[in-house]
Amino acid sequence: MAGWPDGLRKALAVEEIETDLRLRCLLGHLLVYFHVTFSNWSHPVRASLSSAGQSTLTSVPNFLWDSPPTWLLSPGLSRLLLQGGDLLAVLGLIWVFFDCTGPLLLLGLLFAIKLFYYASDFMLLANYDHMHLLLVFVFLISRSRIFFLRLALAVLYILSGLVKLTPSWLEGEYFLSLPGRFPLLPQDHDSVVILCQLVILLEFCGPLCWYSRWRWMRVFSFVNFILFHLYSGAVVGFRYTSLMLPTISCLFQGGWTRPFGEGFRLGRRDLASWVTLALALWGGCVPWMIPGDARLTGEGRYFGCFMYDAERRVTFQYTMWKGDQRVEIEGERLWQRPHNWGVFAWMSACHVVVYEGPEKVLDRWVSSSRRKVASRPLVLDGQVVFNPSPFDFANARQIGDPYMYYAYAKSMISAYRPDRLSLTVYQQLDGHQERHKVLDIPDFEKLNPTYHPLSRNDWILDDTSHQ
Amino acid sequence: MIPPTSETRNIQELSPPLRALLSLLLFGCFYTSLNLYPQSGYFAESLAEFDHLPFPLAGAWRDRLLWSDYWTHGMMYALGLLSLAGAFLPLLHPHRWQAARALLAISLIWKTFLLWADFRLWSTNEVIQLVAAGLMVIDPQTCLARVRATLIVLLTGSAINDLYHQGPQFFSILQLLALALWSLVTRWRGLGFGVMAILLFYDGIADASYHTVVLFPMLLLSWDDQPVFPRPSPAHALLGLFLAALTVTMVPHGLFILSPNRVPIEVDLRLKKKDLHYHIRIVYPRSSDNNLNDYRVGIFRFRTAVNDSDSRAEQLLEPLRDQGVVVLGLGLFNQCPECLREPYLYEYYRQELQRRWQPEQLSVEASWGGIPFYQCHDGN
Repeated sequence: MAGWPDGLRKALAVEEIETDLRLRCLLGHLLVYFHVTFSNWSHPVRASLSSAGQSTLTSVPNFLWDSPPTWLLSPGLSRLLLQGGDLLAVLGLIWVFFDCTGPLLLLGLLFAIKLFYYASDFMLLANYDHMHLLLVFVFLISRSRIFFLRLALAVLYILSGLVKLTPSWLEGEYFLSLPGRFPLLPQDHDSVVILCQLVILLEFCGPLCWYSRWRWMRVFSFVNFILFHLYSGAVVGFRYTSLMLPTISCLFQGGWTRPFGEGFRLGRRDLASWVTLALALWGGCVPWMIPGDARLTGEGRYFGCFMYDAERRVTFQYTMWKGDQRVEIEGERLWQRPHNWGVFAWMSACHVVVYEGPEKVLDRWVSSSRRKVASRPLVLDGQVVFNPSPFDFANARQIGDPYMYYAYAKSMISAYRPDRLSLTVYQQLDGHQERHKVLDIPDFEKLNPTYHPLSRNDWILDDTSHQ
Repeated sequence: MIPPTSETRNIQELSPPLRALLSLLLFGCFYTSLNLYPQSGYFAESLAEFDHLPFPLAGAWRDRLLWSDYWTHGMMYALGLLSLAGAFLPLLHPHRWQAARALLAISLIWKTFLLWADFRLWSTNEVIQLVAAGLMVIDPQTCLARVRATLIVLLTGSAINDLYHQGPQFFSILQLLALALWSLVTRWRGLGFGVMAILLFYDGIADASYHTVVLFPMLLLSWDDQPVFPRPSPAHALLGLFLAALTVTMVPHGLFILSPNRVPIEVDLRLKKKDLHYHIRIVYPRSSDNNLNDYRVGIFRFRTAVNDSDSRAEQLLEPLRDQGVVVLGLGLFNQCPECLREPYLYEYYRQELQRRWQPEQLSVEASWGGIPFYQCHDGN
């Protein structure tokens, strides 16, 4: 479109994109990745992403607030935003063939929509969406886009390495616990441990190689990252690979002949980009600043990249008393069944028993494994008291997070107004038999816990810190 | 090396709309892989789980070519990533569009092979993408004109489908009028095209239709200042209507653009063998307690009762098995409404269950909007 004002084009530094095919390609890629996200969130449109989430108890608000802004949206408006955004994202891919200013503005709009939902609903948090949002933000605000996108990519890999500095990866427990371990690779204990450590080494040192003046080092690093992504996608699925492979492939164009940082000059206009990347690095260090094992406590983990642990088993129990009615809810999540090629499926089950005085009036399963028919909420006196769908459909990152159970307890209290609610949560990591009790609250309202995302929360238990 | 002349350069290059369409179709292939990846039915292990619906007529032949879960997903993963790489090739290297075209040809073959494995995988979205991809592979330079004509025929077919199944509907009639204006009335083609685009956009928002995501950009790309036909005539209209009408019977599940996703479907299954009685009800849409726009399927089992007036139903959350035989695999019926409306689905289930389990009594009744479309009662 030739009609965009020059002032706008200059402010957005559009010419940089128009003269560099790598940036044009990246713009299309970042746009179309919104489609991957929105279609996942909107088919069907989750009730949790609108005011309906409150009444159906499907919503777990982000720890930033008790009442997320998505609760202000009607279901129809939420659907318009998400599905409209889905359509526009693919349109953006097409648009990039004709223009750059319009797609760049569209990128900003879709970023705002995605961030709005992402910051509202705890259940949406995912590593690849963290990464996508950071890359989009850097693309929008930077003026030397290639340099800062490469630096953002380096930061993301380093953050991914940081989060793996746990026994799950350093001692290979993550893959040792999986049936099949590393498909197609040596299966013995030492090989698995070494491979895990090599991945960490790659993520820390590989990005540094890109700035080396030795071409062989840059190419070696690039090839290893490509192989890593090709392999990891086969294990964990498409979403991460489909984000990173095109990004690294585009950004490495030109890196064959010149180190990444060559020719860059520091300028005041780049301050925002530097601050953004510094904050991202700081975010990845937050779990290390908070005492305790973040794999169990989940504290501080969402400010940077966050891993999930394989073969995590979670059991939880809510008990509510109201008058002479007692509701007992027990739930269990096993990590996965034996998988092929990243097709994960976890076993989940929620069981509900309701007593009226001494008499049992209800005893049934309300959910079972994912990928089957939808789960069924517990409705008492016309009020949804418990909905198993957040626990059924929570991904492996959230299901072990004590915050999720805390937030859901608050929702149940708000909906059902019991006289008393108790909550217990146990976790097992990496297939170990040892159970860790992470929550044990006999009376939630009496304790009245508050969640502090940047510091230690005493009501979240961590028995590993006493070892 | 002979430098390219303006003519050869034109042959070598592809115009931006065509490169955009090439990119879109390759992305569509990737997106098919992304969507199918967690599903089942198209690999050998699905047969044992009774989670497979072979293609009519050619299904038996295709079933012999079902690969294992491992190899099928491996190929899907590899070719899915290739499609994704190809989708960005026309952007990053505009002069190397032939490589992207070659990737599209490979993806097209693989996608057709994959979809052919299970009847439930077909959808309006896939039909349109396959046809458009075929046109792009065969002759990219004249592709847009043919894609335009194909879209008009297929969209007309979808409107006829709606009218055939549901009777006169405002949106279907409006769709037909818009297409007629666009293709046959030169002066008003812009209006017709605009109305069609709005209808599609509305469909994408209102019904969360997968097909709109690729179809809508494809429609916008196919717009051209020139008329669809240089001299539209009644012959064009008749030919188009004839081809469109064929889609009612020849396209799997039919074409539904402004799809009636909310028309309820109910299926009643009663099975008996020796002391085992199963009474299953499948409903669509499932009563949406979780999601106000949740059009997923509910499968409920009525516990064996002394009398049929006891209507306690519990949601079925695991497959029904009897001595190792899967009597009811949930995945078979946990499908989109277009699949649930297929009489073939129930006929296959009936025949296959007879073969596997030999029930003494088998009764299947399916209705759409309260109107029965499949009934079968075997045994006493």
